[in-house]
Amino acid sequence: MLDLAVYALYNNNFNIIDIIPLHEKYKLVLYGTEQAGIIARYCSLELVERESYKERYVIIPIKIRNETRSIREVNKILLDASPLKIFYKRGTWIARTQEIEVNILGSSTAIVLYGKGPQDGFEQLEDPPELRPPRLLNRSDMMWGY
Amino acid sequence: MGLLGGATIVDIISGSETLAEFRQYTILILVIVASLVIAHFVKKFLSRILYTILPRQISETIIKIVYYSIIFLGFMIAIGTLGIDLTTLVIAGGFAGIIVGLALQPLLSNLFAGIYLLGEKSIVPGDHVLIDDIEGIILEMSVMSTKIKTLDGVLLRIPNNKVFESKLYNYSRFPVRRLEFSVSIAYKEDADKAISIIRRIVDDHPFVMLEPEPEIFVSALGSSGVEIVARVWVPSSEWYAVVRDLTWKIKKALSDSGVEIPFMQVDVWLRTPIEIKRL
Repeated sequence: MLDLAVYALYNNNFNIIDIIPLHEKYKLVLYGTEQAGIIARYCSLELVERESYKERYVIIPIKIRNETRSIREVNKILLDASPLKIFYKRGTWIARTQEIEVNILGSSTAIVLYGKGPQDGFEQLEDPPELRPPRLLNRSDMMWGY
Repeated sequence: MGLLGGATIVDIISGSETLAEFRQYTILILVIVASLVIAHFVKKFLSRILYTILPRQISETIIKIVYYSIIFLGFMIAIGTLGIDLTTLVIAGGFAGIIVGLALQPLLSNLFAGIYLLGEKSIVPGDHVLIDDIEGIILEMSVMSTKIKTLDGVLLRIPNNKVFESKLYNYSRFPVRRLEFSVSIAYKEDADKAISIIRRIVDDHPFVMLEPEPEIFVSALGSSGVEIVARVWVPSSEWYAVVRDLTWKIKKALSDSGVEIPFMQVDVWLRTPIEIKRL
């Protein structure tokens, strides 16, 4: 899902002043426990072709690798907005993130790795300033199920 | 009086006394200097360790106590080297300690309560709390008192002893918080319909979380209507916006759908009829 952010420019600094969701429903979910969980933006997944596009949506190329010896069911993927980048083709709604790899490690744990973005004809969207702290790790952990 | 190499015995005795005194004073100075040096190094050592594991205020207090205790101990040992009997001083000090301790009891109880609260970290600046009947945001915590900005914007300083002894609710500790909305509908109304209306309102609200799932159910059959409760989880930081929005939106949605919300009605029966006269 894409949101529209409104920024104010002052002394060469961009300050976010509003976020306008481009979708009717803006919902939040709790990932994890009520004591230590993470509040995440909810987005229902729809499987589409890699090369397709949809207005107001970003296509996320996801590779899921099951490293356990049993069959696993994936119901949710937690994506961290900080290492996640958006790439787009100018003048179109064609938008992608970089390659995402979900490695299932156990019955309730997985790691999400953020790979490289698409090359041909895509431009990288500038990050909002508040998401610019140093990205030490290009991965995030899912500890409370997937 | 005989002569020993040109010096009299008196001279030798007084000379040895002076030497002994000189030695005593040297030891005194050395002990004091040593205690200052030890105190300085202990302070440095503790600073390096305590600041990483304890809150700043507690670390500072512990470091000060240890620093001055070492210096005090050094002075006592130094005085002891002069041959002064410290027993009287210790007894007097003990009595003085008791008197000072009694006089400073409120201060000390605040101090220790503060050290405990800062160590326990049950509240930190920025938390939304309810302490007894005082609700607000923690602005600052020191070893002696806690400063709170009440929800109506007033600065309040509470002694730590009071915070320690009071019932304390921290609404910011966890990322999410559950809110409860209660509404009563008339007995003639369809409760399922009312529940679906409330569910629509709750689902449409951006801060009501999908997971944990909201619960909406008939909670009681009241004296004037059927009680319906909606329990929703919201981000702890957004509780006020949700309370402000949902209460009215639920009422409005029910009224717009023609669901009657009863209100308390009381019939008063008089045992003896009263006469009303025209004036």
